[in-house]
Amino acid sequence: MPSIRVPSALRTFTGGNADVEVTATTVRDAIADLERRHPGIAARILDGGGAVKPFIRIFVGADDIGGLAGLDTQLTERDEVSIVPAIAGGT
Amino acid sequence: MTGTPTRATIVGAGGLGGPIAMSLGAAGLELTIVDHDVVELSNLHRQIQFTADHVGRPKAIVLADAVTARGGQARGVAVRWRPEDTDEHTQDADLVIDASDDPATKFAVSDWAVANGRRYVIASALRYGGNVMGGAPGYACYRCLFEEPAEAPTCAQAGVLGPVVGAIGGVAAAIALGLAYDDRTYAGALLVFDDLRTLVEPRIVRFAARRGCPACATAPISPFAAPIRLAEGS
Repeated sequence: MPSIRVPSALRTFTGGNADVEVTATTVRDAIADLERRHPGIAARILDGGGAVKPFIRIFVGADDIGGLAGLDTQLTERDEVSIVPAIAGGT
Repeated sequence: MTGTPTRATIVGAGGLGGPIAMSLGAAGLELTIVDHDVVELSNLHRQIQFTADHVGRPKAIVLADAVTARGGQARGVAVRWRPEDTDEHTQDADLVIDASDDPATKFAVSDWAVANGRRYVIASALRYGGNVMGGAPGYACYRCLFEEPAEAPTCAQAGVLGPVVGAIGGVAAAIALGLAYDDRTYAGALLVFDDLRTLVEPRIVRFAARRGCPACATAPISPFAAPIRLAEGS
């Protein structure tokens, strides 16, 4: 199954789990399945129109989905989807 | 190293700015350190360049003194970094490193570097992880990556483990030093430190320039720039 790497800021939704396996063939499906397993988390990733929020970037492996097919990027069983948010801290 | 030293401006003299300044100063870069804040007792667990004797003093000045005491060249400027004041502290920098605690400042530093054709590093840390991005003319920029500042907690609000800023600051310094000598291995790349497990082995991801990015739209063309790959619909 593909998996989603959950950033630490969203692990309150996943009970602290960093990696969540999902049943999905696209990134969009993967986020939908993540939401089914951990309600509320999708609203932190997608806006009301279903687009990725501007301060979040999603990767499949090392590849930015913006350079692939966006949320329709196809997934294989071994793919890891990473959700990477902007981080403010530094001092 | 020979010739004129590379000049770098470091924005932020705290948990990330400390190790970055110490490393780059010791490597021979001529530094300007900009930070409006003063040292507080609650900073000391993660800002190990300071001691209790420094409480109440400007961080930029104390850090510059620490770099100088180790044989480096540094001056501290105790103001908040703003793009309209760059004549005072950043205009002559070859390289700019953001180590601030403020999302708007990170975007402002990146936008300024892109508009002025400078190499730059944006470093962030929070709780147990963080991100480091390298930038150079011709590569996708920080605003391509994250379109606008997020309403995200800062270290002062959410906390950060002391060793995390040391580890991420060291990586940021190494990438900055590479960029100073035109090693663009990490230009247009983001190093992601998810948590303590990945501090020694971050994920490295590359991202495409975003079509319509307002920062890149006004960027000068670098003679040694790699082609920008524009993503459809991104």
